[in-house]
This record gives sequence, C-alpha cells and structure tokens, in this order.
Amino acid sequence: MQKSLLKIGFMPITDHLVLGVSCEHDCRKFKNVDLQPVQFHSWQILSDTLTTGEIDGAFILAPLAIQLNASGVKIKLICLGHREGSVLVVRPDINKVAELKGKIIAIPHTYSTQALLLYTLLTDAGLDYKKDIQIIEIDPSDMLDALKKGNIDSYIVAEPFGSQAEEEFVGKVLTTTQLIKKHHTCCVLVMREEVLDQHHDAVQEVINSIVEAGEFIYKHPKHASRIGAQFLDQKPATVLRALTAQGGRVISWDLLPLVDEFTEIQNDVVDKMKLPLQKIQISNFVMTKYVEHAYANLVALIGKKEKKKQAIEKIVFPIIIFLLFFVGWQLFSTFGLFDRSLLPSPIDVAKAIKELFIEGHIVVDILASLWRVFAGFVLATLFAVPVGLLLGSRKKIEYAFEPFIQTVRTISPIAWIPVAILWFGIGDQPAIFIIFITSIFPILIATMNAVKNIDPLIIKSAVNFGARGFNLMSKVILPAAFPYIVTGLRVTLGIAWVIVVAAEMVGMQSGLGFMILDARNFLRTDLIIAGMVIIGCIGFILDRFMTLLEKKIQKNRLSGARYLE
Amino acid sequence: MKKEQIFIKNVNKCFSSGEPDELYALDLTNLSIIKGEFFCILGLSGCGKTTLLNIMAGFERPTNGKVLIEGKEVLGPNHKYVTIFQESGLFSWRTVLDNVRFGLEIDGIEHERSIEIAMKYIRLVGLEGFETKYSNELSGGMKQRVALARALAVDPEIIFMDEPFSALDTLTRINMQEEVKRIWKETGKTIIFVTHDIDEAIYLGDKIAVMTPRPGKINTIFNVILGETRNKLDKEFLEIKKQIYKELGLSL
Repeated sequence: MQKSLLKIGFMPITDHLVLGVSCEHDCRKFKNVDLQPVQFHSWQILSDTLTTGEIDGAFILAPLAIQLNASGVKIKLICLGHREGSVLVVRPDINKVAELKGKIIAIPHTYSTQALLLYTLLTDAGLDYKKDIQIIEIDPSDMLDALKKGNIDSYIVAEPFGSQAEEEFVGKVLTTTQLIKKHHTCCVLVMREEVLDQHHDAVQEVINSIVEAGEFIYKHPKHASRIGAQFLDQKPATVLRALTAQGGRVISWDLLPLVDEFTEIQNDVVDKMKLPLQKIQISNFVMTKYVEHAYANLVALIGKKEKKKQAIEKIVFPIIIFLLFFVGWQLFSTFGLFDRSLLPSPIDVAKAIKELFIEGHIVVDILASLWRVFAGFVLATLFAVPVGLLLGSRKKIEYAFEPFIQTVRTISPIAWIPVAILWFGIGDQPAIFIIFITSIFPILIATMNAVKNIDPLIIKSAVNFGARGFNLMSKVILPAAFPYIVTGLRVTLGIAWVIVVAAEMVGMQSGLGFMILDARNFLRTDLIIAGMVIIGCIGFILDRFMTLLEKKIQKNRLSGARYLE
Repeated sequence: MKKEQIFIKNVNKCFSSGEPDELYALDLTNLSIIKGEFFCILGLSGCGKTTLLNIMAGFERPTNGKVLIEGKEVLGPNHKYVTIFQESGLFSWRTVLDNVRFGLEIDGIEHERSIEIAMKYIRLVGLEGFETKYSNELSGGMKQRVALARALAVDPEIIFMDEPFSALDTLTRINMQEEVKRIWKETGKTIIFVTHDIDEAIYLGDKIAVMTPRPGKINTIFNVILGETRNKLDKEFLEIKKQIYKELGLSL
C-alpha cells in the first residue's frame, strides 16, 4: 500500500519537540505515513506556506491558527503541541515587571499566545500593553541576537530561547509563562481539512506517535534533550534546562485540546487585546477524536509493556534457570563423574518419560499417589481444623495439649510406616494413614496460630453483641482465621506429597514411590530419574494450584470465609 | 423525671504484680449517670479512663466495688450496652450490611426483618449505597459510621465510645462529632464518651468527668450548660475550657 506523505511545519522551539522525538522514534516504522517535518524560522512564512497548501499541517500558535481559520483557511486543530513552555527574558538590569515601562519588548507574532500572556502580565502589573511599552515582532531565533545588540530590552518567546539566554548570560528569565497562567495552551497541531478527509489512518498514526513522544519526553527528559538538540540546533544542556528547570517549563504529557480553552483565547484576543478577528465556532474547529484515540492507545501500550515485562520476569527467567540446569546436567553426564548407566542424560530421561507414558502404567501410579494424598489430607483437615480452632481459642486447653502435640509432632511420619502396615495391611489404607499423620500437625498448628493472631478487637466486638460458643466459632473465629488456615493447608499439601513417595517405597504395590523402587530393581536409572521428574512436576502443579486458591480467597475480600460461615 | 441509669459504687482496680504496694489504676467513689445523658470522661493518656470504660462495659471486672446498670450488677459484656472502640473492629469478610446485621443475627432476628433494621441504621449514619462494600473499601470515618450503625442496630440502652475518633484526621473527626451529636439527639441513647480531646468533650458532652491519674480519680464533674449549637470560639466555651485546663493542672 502507498504511504501517505505528510509534510508538517514546525519551528525550532522546545514546544515542537514532540514532533522531533516522534520522528526520531517512529518515522522509519510508520505503516501508513511518510512523515516529513519541515523547519521554519518565521511564524509568518510558516502560516503563509500552510495557507497555500505546500505543507499539510503545522505546529502553530493557537491565536494564529484561529485567525487563519477565520480568514478562510480550511484547517482543524487536532492536537496540542505542548502546554506552558514560554519565558519572559529581560536585560540583566531589569528586575521587576513594572520596570518594563517604556521598554521595547519583542513578541514572536501579533496573534501569539505570548502576546496574550504578556498582555495579562502587564495589565496585572498596572501597565498598558498598547501605551506603556513598545511591541515589535521578531522571529524567535533572532530574538537573542537582538537583545545582545541592545535593539530590544526584553522578549517573550518559547523555550529554549530563555534557557539559551541564561546559559550565555545575555539575559535572565523574569518569569515563565506557567506562572502567568498555569497549564496554558500555546502551540497546536493543525491539519488541512482535505488531508484529514483523505488520510485519516495516516493522521491517526502520527498523533499516536506524538502522544507517545509527549509521554517519553516527560519520563526521559535527558534522553529527549539529546534528540531535541539535533532537532532544534541547540546544545543538549540548553534543551534539558528548558525541559527540567522549575520542575519543567514545558509540559508534554497532556496534549488534549479543550474547546473552552480556545474559546477563552479567542475572546481574550478580540475583547481584551482588541485585535481584528472574525470569531469562529471553536467547537467546529477543535477535533479531539484523534488525541482521545491516541491516549487510549497509549494506556493500552503501557499496559502491554508492563505485561511483557512481567511475563519476562515470571516466565522467561524461570525457564532460563531450568534450561541452565538441563545444560549443566547434560554436560555433567557426558563428561562426568558417574557412568552413563548411573547418571543418564536429560535426553535419556526424556525418552524414559515418553516410554512410561506410552506403556501407560505410570498414569495408574500417579492417580494412586494423588488419591492417597488427597484422602489423607482431607481427613486430616476435617480433624485438625476444628481441633485447632478450639485449641487456639481456649488458653487452658492449649496449655494442656501443647506439650503432647509437640512431642508427637516430632516423630517422623516415616517412623509410622511399619505400624501402619501392621495395623492396616497392604493397600491404600496404610498410605492414607501416613498422610493423615503427616498432615495433622502442620494444619493443627497453622490453625491454632491463625486463631491466636485474630485481632482481639474483633472478638471483643463479637462478644459484645452476644456471640458465644458455636456462634462465635462459626461466625467470627473461623472466617477471621480462614485466610491463614489456607496458607497452612498449602504448605501441608506440599509436605504430604513429599511423604507419600516415601510411604509407597515401603510396602505398597503401586504409586510413584513404588514405581521408582521397581525401576531400581531392574537397574533402570533412566526410569528412576523419570519418576523423580514426574514427582517434581506434579508437586509444582499442586503448589501453584493451592497458591492460586489462596490468593483468590485472600483477594476476594475473604469471601471464601464468608462462604464457610 | 431524671432516671439514674448507671451507678458506680466504690470501684477500684489494681493490676497486681504480687508486690505489697499494688498499683491502683483506678479508685472511684460513687458516680451516677442519668439515662439519655451525653457523658464525657476526659483525661490525659494513662489516667485510667479506658479501664473505667472497660469495667462499665463488662470487659473487665473491678478489683473491688461494683457497677450497676438499671439496678443490675454488670458481670460481663452485654448487647444492651455496646462499645465502639478506637478502631472499628469490623468483620472484614462481611459487607457493610452484614456487619450491621451481625448483632441481629446473633439475637436470632428473622433475616428479612434484620435487613430492614440494618438498612434503617445504615441510612441514619449516611452510608446508603455502601451496603455491599467491604471494610477495606471504606475510609476510616466510614468504618466508624458502620461501627456506629452496627451498635445502634441492636437498640442498646447505652453506647460506650472509647476515643472513637482519635484515629481519624482532623476534618473527618469534626464531621463525625457532628454526626454523633445528631444521632444522639435522634435516638436519645445514653452515650458514655471517653476522650483525651478537651474541645471534643466540651463540644459533645452534657457532663464532663475530668479524670486525674495514679490512681485514676474523678474529682470534678462539669455541667456543660451550653446550648444546642456550640461554637468552639464562644466565650462560655472557652471559659469551661479554661476551668478544665486548670483541673488537669495544665497552663493555657
């Protein structure tokens, strides 16, 4: 598809830096548009060129844009170039606004925001814009020279010509325009109407890029000032000063034009400054849809970047760690310490896993192990949570039982295996019993601690309203402790999964533990390690599942607890 | 006729450490509070005012003496007299509505009816529209409003308030003071209000008992005879303030 060629006029001022940054970032990447910035040095020439249609759009002073439209040039205002961003520079010996009386002040154009702001400043200081000072029009890039030569006493213009005067010690910044009118608009991007009609997508792409550039300048002024130095023929330090002095003299992060702002500018130009201008209907002149779309796009983009970053942190990095491990393992088994038959390579193990699943019995083993863990864990939960609630809420009972619990708890679940087999024979029961024994104590202790850590004020309030006994337990203590109990359950499930394998190695005829033992009897180390890998993977999935459950319960304003009630 | 509702009879409380010189946190002679009164207990921190409130509300037992409410000795907490604390003590797993319903639920009030009552008090404290919110979605001031609605819902005879606004920012606190005053007028409950804020006490109270520490004692009870609307800059207001400062041994 043919790209639309868009020529956009600008002046070498920081107010138009968004265009430079936009082009630097995106000009080579645009899909629909071939964007060509065209530099001017005079507002008059820029506006004449726009009138003839030699350029398609321009960054231009808002009052001048209104005046052009009023005189019949078919343009629309579609985006701001910036907000604030101008300075009043004076000779070093001038210290107050009042001292400007009788002086020569340069403005960039009769229909300029700067003239309007100067008018406001002088009026507030009790001076008459028309009578008390002499106004002359000079192109922005010539102002500094004129001040140097002494042809003028002061000028009001866009940055970086204030920062430049400061850096060269020619003049000083008497005030910035943000102090005259906070957040004021100044230069706007206008486009010829026929361009908007014919090249909608191209314009949208440019505006998206400009809005992103605005955000970029705000977030990375240093980087932006380097781009700006080239774009504006300035020193980076000068641009950086303009972007950061006084907390930033130029605002680039809010480019949404508001109809009211321009109505006010138009009214001020006509009613206060008494400049000749046929008032136009501003709401027809200002078109916000491009910028609104661009900001929606920007928000989505930032969200996407954030997600991408998180995805890298949470998925890519862990995968790298696993890969490093496998590479290390592979090297270790290739050159390594142990014979290949003792330490198979990851590839051998992958083949073994494949073999296991093709043969199919592994599925039965996995289900057997999972069932034992599930049954023992659920039984233990049903027993240990209520007991934990009771122990946690009654000091006397806790004191009585605590030493007993701590004693039994220290007996390894493995030590219970022989008696479990004697009591329950072979089959699932002894394994379930072992898991039950394994799970009881961590759940019990987690529940007790959860209850003990409930804010006493909650209990006090509940008791005040007459909650006692079962009511207090079920309506207050359990729901208040529930999120912490769930954490205990998650940890316990992990332990249970560790123990079930051990239990299955002694006296079981199925399950993952048995499978590993069986493989050892056939000296199949590849199958042994395959079994270990499978155990690890399932343990990981169980933990993630419980973590998810835990987060959901704690995030949903503890509504899981509500459900329990 | 003015009816005496709470009577404190020679109450003292010591936190015994087993030593012979036991530390008395509180040592009160007789004190009575009239039904419907807004009774402030004012004192600097550590003067035993919270201990006194806890004893009245039944959360603590006095070492000697007793507290009578409606002629009956207070032996434990009871939902006929509900306490509001510095922190709201809301149930985080319940919505605003279900928090306010809590006491009614415990009383076995039928579900539909309990919602009706709860809504009435949610409206009274100005939280209509927030029924389905959870406490972590509410500001500090809103939480205290919920706590107030939850207390009012069980139609208690007395509401104890233990520095209920001291954790709030100044503007919210002033706002809540007005609210409590309005609700007190609308419901006619007896309110026992513990505070260390002198302005707050004069602004709200019919009576102000000024406590001095070690052991906690009430030497003077000020009758605040200011009108319905109180201005913290009025001459009379400042006069009472001056007296209280003097009583507390502070210089103005």
